Amino acid sequence: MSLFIERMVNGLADGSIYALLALALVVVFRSTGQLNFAQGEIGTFGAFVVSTLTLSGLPVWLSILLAMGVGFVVSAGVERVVVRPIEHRNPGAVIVALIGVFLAVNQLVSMIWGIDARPLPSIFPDEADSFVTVFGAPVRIARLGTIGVLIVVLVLLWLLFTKTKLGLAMRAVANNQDSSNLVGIRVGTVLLFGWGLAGAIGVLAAALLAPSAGLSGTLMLGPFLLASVAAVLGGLDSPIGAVVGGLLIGVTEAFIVGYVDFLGADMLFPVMLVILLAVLLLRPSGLFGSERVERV
Amino acid sequence: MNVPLRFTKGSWQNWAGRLVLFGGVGLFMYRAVNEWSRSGLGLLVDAMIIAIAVTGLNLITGYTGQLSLGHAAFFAIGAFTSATLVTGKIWTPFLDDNIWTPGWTLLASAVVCFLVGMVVGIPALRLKGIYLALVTLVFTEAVRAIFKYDEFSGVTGGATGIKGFNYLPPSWTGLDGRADLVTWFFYLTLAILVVVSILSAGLIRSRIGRAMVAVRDNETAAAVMGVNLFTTKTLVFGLSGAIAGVAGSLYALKLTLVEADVPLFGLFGSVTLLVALVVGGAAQNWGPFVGAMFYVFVNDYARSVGEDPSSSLLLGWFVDSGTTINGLGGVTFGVMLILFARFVPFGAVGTMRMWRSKVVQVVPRPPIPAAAAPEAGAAAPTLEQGHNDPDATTQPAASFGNADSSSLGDDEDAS
Amino acid sequence: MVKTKRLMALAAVGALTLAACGSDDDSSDSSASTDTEAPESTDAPESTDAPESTDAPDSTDAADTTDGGGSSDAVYVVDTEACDDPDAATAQIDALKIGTSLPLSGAPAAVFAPLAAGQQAYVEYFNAEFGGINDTPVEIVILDDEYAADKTKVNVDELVFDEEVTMLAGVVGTPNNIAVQPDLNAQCIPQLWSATGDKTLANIDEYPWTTGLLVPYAVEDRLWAEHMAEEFGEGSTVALFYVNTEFGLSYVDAFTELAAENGIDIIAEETVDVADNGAPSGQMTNLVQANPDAILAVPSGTQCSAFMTELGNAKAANPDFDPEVYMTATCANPLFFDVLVDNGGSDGVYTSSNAKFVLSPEYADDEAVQTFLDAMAAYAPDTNAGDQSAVAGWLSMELAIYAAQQAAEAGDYTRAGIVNAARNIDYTPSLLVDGMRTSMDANDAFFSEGTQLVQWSEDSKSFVAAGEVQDYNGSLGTYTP
Repeated sequence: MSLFIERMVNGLADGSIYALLALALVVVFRSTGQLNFAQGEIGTFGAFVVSTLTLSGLPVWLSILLAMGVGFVVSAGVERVVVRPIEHRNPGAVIVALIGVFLAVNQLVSMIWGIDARPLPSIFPDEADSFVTVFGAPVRIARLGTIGVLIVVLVLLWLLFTKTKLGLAMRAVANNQDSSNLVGIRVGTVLLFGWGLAGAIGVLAAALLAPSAGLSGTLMLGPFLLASVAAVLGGLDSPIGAVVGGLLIGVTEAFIVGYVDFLGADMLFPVMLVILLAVLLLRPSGLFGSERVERV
Repeated sequence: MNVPLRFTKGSWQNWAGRLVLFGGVGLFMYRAVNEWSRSGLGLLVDAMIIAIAVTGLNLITGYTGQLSLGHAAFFAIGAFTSATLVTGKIWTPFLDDNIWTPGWTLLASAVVCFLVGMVVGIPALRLKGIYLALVTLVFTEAVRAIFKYDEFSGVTGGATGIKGFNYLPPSWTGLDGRADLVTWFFYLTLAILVVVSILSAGLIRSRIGRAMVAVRDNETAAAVMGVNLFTTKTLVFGLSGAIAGVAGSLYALKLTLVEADVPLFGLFGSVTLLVALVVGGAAQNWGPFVGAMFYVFVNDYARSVGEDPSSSLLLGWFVDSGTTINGLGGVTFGVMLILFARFVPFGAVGTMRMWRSKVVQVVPRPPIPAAAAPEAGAAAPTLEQGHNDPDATTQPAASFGNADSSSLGDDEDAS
Repeated sequence: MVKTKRLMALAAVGALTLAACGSDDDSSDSSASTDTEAPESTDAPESTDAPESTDAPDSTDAADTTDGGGSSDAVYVVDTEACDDPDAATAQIDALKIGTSLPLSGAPAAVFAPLAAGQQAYVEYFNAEFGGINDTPVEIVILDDEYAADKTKVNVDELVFDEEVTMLAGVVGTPNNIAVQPDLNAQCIPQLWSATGDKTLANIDEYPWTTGLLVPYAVEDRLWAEHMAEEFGEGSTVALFYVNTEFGLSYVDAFTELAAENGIDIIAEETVDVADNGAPSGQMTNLVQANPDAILAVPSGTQCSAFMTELGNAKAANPDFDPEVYMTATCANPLFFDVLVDNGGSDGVYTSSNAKFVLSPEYADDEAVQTFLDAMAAYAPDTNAGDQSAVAGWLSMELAIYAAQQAAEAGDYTRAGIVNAARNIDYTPSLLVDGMRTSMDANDAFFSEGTQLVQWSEDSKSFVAAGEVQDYNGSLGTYTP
């Protein structure tokens, strides 16, 4: 039993990172219909900023907030400078541009900070003995904290979308851009904000992952891929779906390593392929995604 | 005098234009094989191999509108098929030692990948746009994981891969073994690229090609009009996979090793193929070739800038010789991709076509007049101007057709 | 329309048939193997012609000056008849140009890039100090392969055909070296001092032009197995944690054999994917469950620190879990052990090293260490000189140039001469710890078979010796597949 709990918590903690990143992807997709390839790298960039800030003496929580601000600006900048002009001409070319951003940011990180890995302190107590015992299983505080952050972010997002004017505007734009424009919503600003928000969430995810994984240029490569799968699994336009998808993938990963001996950690993708196909063939828009109506 | 010049298809001007184009490329190839350094020629061969794979991708993504990030999987399957057969790891009844001649493994890869592609095409019936793209991406990584899997290492080599097989030039070419290996691959790859391009162009012009484009533009309408979605999608997925598989085989034979960790066999490969496709121009006959050349050579250029910034035009002002800036090559390439997507959004070939069509247009030959046929020119413009209604596409994120290319009338292949 | 289709189909079949007609020869096995002769006498007949050499044929190295050390004194001479181009293998060298390929970018670069700095530093130091060989400066060309074996192959092609290097030295990576081994041997180009400990690099019969540099992984395994047998006696249990690549498997295969011999039971095996940078929490939970006496860890690059962090957490959370941990020498980097792992997980971890830890105070007056540090400061100031990878790079070039010098002195300054010099080398660089002898000859294809068990100490934030220097010189003989 305690082993099960331990694996479960680890899976949920990893899954929370994927869920956060998937949330960011969903926010972007809802507003612009694009998959932001560079989401993970902007997160990595932000995590390095956190590292620099903490090394210069700032407390961790403040560094993370400031870095989230940087992520917000960078991401919004990408939307305005890269995505918007290209989308007017050919939406199909946006993905290439985003891949370009991915590459540029990834290499920019090594340009500014070099190729050495570096440590990153965690917001949560992260000593070797910072754990609590739950039903006999040692559970690290940092991992519980990660899950907690996910919940907090979810709540904040829910408040944003349902209780604020800005959130209402975002929902309107996600639903129908032209109508929103006609109603007087500043679509451009809303889009900027949406992308910026996604960037900030991405940085948060990276900052939560880095303390245990070690901060290096490849930090978010794997998680980004898994988060994309999570977003698709849950439905690209559903925040709930993103979270469910992310947690599901995290737990699956933990359970494969833990309980399926003959497969091992490397066989995660074949298992995910099966799960993905099973879900999507039944519900082609993801678990919680909305059906697309195609006009003829 | 803003009216663009019009030439009918098949006229001498049309043929002259084609001659210039093919002649130019031919001259380029001739000079390459005779004058370039071995590593430069190797790069060119790599570019052509990628071009072959992208030709396959073009069929399913460019023309049929099914966004596939899984073609690196076919590439890998083709590569591993060749490697396994050439080293005799799979029992073959009619061969004593189970060892295949490398050339025949190309055919084997095509067949295997065709079958796998058809199977992959089945989910495409239910999934659209980014959903399909992600599933194919997971498929790519899953295939890679399977190749690495220990239990299969008798056939796939597991984590170690398969190494040390050789493909020396056949004696009838008069080439001398290892030293001329790249030259042999150059001719072989060029021949296969030409054949594959001709086949692809032919396919596009056929009924199936029209069905493909119909599926891309509006699936429901196509189905209503009688296009068999199942056949079209699975068949085209199969064909495109087969072509990518042949490219993979060539790659394996040239490299004389395969292992699951080769970057082109995974996510990186799928992304490379897609970028090459869009940059060259989706749904264009020359798109894959141009795109692959761009990708390989610009990447190499960016890398050399990264290794020696002082010798580049722009940075030479700021940077002294001997300093290296980490990651500069990657940043350069990324920025170039962004600029390209911004200013040449329909791909090199697509955009060139747009510009060219302002100056020159090739119109279909007028039909032989029956009793009182209208003048040729009057009927032609509506056909070849292209249906050109970008808002009519219903798949915003996955629309790869560009303004001109999807029109059914614009079907000359020479530019 | 139909006609064109038929033509196209014919063309397709034609193209495939053309391709199929290719290479009935040699489709499977790698290139022609060169035969070797290992004469028992200590005279050294020259099997290669040395044009213009004025000296009488000499033995290429001082294989007969020192005796004993566990290896016989059989002199090795390479055969150049089966080369693609025997003349190139025996042509006199004017200027020595050394090529190498290693990861300078991408994830593994954090671990391996300092190697390049060490290589560069040595060559520049050598040219500055000694003016080169025969008064001609030595040139070095370093290319980046991002640890991908296919890129290594492309790089080697470029080095051989475009840069026209005399030899390769210090190429990094097990799969990378294995990938280029057949071609280089067929072309008779020396591939010396490859930065890997994989034993297939010592295949003197099939691939005589290739030698390794690092302590063979089998030797490391032996060090640990014997230490474990000492500590725990019969029936001790071990769990394996390794990266799922040729590099990791190399350790595991060798250790499995040794475990049987030393009465050790392997009770668990956990793998991690080479691209996985996260914390291996799932694998660690399994290891805790198995609760072995010891863990053999072979992670790759930055996974070293992630593993040790998890280890520290697991030890704190599970008081019963306190295994000895033996970790691959490629992780023996103070940067990983000190800065990156801050929770005590690295305390007491065993690893091995055959080189001096250059920043350690006990070598403050050591001449070789000083030379190294000065050169690094002068020629590679951006690299942390305490990074043991830099030492490995330095050694690869030192040995390469040493072999070339020996060949020149013997009057056989050719590629074949260099390989002969290397294969009969009896020279222990002073950056290696005292107490071991490094040599090779016709029956000993492994260079550095001596090493020492060291342990990381949190108190002193450094590696301290945990045993005597073990000199297994000659013990592994040669490798035959």
